[in-house]
Amino acid sequence: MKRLLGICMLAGCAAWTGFRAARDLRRRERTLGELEQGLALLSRELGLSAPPMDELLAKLAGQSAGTARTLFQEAGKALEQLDVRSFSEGWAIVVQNLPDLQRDSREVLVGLGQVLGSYGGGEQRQALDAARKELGRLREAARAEWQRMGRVYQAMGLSGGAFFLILLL
Amino acid sequence: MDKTPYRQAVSALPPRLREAALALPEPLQNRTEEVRLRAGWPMTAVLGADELPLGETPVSPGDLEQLLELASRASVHAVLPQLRRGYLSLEGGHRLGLCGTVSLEDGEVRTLRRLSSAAIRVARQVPGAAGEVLPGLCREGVLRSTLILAPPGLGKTTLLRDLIRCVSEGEGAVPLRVGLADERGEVAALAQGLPQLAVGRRTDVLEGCSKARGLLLLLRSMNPQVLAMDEITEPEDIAALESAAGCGVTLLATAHGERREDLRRRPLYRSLPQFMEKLVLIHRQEGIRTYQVEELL
Repeated sequence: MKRLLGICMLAGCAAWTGFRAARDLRRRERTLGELEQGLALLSRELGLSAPPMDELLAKLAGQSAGTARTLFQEAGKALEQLDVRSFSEGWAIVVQNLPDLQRDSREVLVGLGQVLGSYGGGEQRQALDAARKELGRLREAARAEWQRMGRVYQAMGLSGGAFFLILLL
Repeated sequence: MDKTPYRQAVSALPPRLREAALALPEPLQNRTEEVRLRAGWPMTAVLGADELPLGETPVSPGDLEQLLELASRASVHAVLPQLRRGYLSLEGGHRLGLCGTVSLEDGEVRTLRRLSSAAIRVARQVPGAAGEVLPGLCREGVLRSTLILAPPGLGKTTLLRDLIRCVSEGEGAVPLRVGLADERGEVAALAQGLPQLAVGRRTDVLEGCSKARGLLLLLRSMNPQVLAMDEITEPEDIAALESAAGCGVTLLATAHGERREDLRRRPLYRSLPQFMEKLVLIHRQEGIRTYQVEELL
């Protein structure tokens, strides 16, 4: 009985790994989409009223969802640490701690942090638009990869599970 | 408010520089008019004609960038209109003046980059500062239109603020509604709509817009009996004062100058005696401020 349970767990783990890899691909696309929308909101607010950064981030944290909300919330907290580190350094730390992002998308966001709050609204909006375009491109790539590889990972997980079952039973 | 004006003003500095500024003995802190930072040189405290070094480490361009970030709360976009005029208003009515490389666009200042020096001007509230001069500025207890004339750093804004407070509170004069055009936020220092420096219960403050426009807006919208502005610098300011005077409003204003003759000598000031009745001259002799009230009309 114990052996059967162990084999089932092993097969389940293999299937779960495949499904998780597919889910991660899907989540990456969704996260990039949330960030893209968040940056669009930020750009719009800067264009409309250009409020101070703390007000702006608090407002956006309330309006955005998922990872963008986390980004704005945590960046707002980074503003309370200006004595210790600059806003761009605090922003970079927040970006490094965001989940479901790859190196290239983190680099885009870290680069954006060099401009946010340090320049006029027009320059910040230009940087935001450039970052949004880049994140959009990465999101499209993530979607293509999910469409291409998502089912492959799921099938591999299921196949791996079945393989263990057949091999060990 | 538990911080002294000096402590509040230097709280905008980066931590290393703040520590050096706070190491200044308290009696000197209380006399400090400005804190100056120049890249490549140690920070200094300005006390009258003297500049005392604050620490030995030279100020770096990075320190100045951090100062701007702290002063603007990482919101350069929100303070850009002020930055274009070369200064930022700090909490408490203190003023941060900045120098660096100006970037121009269509002949207008677009922004200020690569900062090279900064000056934090400490705003001080001196309740009772106007007590000495107010009786000489009133007729039958009612304030007359008054111009305060003094060189920079002698306390024009401090005297103006206390005159506003006295008139608004009815302290030593008949109480009147005062409209204050506080372009740089130095007189009342509004924070969340509340004045951080006492300007009295009958005072309406319009902050942020140009003095000339502010006076006319106040005149139209708040029905003031007294209109006040700090530092006449442009012909538009004179024109706004003149048209307000034509509406029967009492005026309170300050201007840079040392003596009465400056009103005749400087083209900008020439028309002022036509609608200002009283003149207050501020002098400093051996470190003590003295006020001189004269008739203008």
